[in-house]
Amino acid sequence: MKKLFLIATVILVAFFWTGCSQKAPELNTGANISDVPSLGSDGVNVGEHGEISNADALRAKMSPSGGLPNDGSYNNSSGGFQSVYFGFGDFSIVNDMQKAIDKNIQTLKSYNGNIKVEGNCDEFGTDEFNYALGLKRAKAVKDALVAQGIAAERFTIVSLGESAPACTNSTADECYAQNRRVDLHKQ
Amino acid sequence: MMRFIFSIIMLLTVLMGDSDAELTIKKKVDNRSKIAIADGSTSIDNSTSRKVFSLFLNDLKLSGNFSADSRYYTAEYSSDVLPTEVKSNEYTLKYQLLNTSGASLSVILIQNSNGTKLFQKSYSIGAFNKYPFLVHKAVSDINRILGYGSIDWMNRLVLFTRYTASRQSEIILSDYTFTYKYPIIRSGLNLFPKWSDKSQSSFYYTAMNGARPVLYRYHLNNGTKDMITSSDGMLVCSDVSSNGSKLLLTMAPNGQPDIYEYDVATKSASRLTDFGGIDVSGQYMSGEKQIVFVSNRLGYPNIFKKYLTSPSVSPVVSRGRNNNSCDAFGNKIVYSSRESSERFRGNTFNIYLNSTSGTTPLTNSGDNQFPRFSSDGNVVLYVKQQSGKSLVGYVNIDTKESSIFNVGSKVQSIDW
Repeated sequence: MKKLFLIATVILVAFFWTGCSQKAPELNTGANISDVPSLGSDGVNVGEHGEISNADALRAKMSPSGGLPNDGSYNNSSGGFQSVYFGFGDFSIVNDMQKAIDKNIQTLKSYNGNIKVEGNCDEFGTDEFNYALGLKRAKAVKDALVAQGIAAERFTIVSLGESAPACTNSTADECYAQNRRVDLHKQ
Repeated sequence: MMRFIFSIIMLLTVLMGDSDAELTIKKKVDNRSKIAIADGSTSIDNSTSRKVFSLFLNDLKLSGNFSADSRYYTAEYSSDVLPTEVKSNEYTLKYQLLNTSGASLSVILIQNSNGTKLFQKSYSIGAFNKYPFLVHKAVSDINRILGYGSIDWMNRLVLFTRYTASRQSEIILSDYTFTYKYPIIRSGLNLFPKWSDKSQSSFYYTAMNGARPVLYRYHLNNGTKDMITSSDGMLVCSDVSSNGSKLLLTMAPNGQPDIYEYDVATKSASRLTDFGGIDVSGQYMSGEKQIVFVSNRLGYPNIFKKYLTSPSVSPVVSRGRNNNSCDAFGNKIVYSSRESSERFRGNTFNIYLNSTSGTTPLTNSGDNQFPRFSSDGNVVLYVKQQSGKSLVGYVNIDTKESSIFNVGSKVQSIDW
């Protein structure tokens, strides 16, 4: 029994020690755009903003349910529209998602044509449920835009389920989060 | 204190072990017939010979009625002489596969105690790579000849969709072991194949290539298709009635996914569920008087049932926080249930069988979803997701014998 106790103690200490020994990641704050030497007037204008240099910082900006920040740092839409990012399993417009809705309202002030709204999901869950979830997300975005005065008949909504992922090259949270989105396109 | 530490060690062992071993309870092991398999093929390459042997071995095992000798024996097909080692088994299944403008398979079942030939038959098919279907047919015949009942589910064709690129997929026809695979529909986004009748001569699928999803019926014998219906948002054929006259569709005419029953003859649909959230995956049960389906009406995906003629809905499952797929056969229900709460990765989903005798697990590790009963209700197919790829497993409900096969790509949906 003493041996068992010793093994258990070693395992537990090793387990917790390993868990505690990871150094907290640091934001890369060394080189912001003002530190870069001027490129002169050669026609190259580097506009950079909103860079997140590590995953932990991004997670801190994500919603409690895992939605990407809707501040323009991610976008998969076209024609001046802004994608709307959702949390895990969510299909309601909440929190900073209204910023993306407002951005799309601005775009619609100078566009009078029809709009295709595509709902997307991450790969978790079965595809039939995911297609329904993608559809509910697309409908939520459409309803939010209609509530601000855009005519309902201008929209076509469709769910693409998990068939059109924006990110496939990682199993990290922020990769999956890029796929929980609604994209808007001019028709 | 010691009990606490021992519990911690056991917990760590379970967490770190993460065994992918399938649940295999060797029930009724003593009642199974011992059988040896002897290859009498002479003109087939070694790799194919081994594949054929493995198919025989697996088919016999999964039938639940045989304890198959896993050693690879060879024997001259036309001779009555058998290797001495097979005599410890009750039977020997001797076979010969030929590649002669297609595949030809001959089998003999021999009773080892006296050398009596109990069964002899030859099978053929037009293309050599379709030989797995001949093996499955031979084993199901031998099972029947020996009085073990039908295992005709082995002969069923499997249809599945796999994603090939963004907004691209293909619908594949295969045997149940995925040894034979043939793409039926390529190009574009075509999803949710569902056999349209018991004969497996045609199937329904959803084409997502225009402004609205369209449901087609594809005829395998001539490669033609008929448009059935279309809907805004989404459209899935989740189940077909036993006589093929009615379909359970998930449609969203106003962006709201609900379950509808569609009459193939009159081309009319009646709405069966009316909920502001998500209702999907309708499956007929209880003589097609009821349906079982997935709904998030409690705030998370769970399994519910209702009578076709009544608006009232009742939950079927009281455990798990994410039960997002189900199937029904008679009064039996199979469903997947999330066992862990990782938000982004590594969740465990297991398959459970709900019947009059209670609820029993059919899997015990990994990410298992999409359960589908066999045509006789005795075997459950399920999809196991692993490292971005799909495996397909089968569990015999009575014997708990199981087998699992690598599909080689991610399965979007499957039917058999």
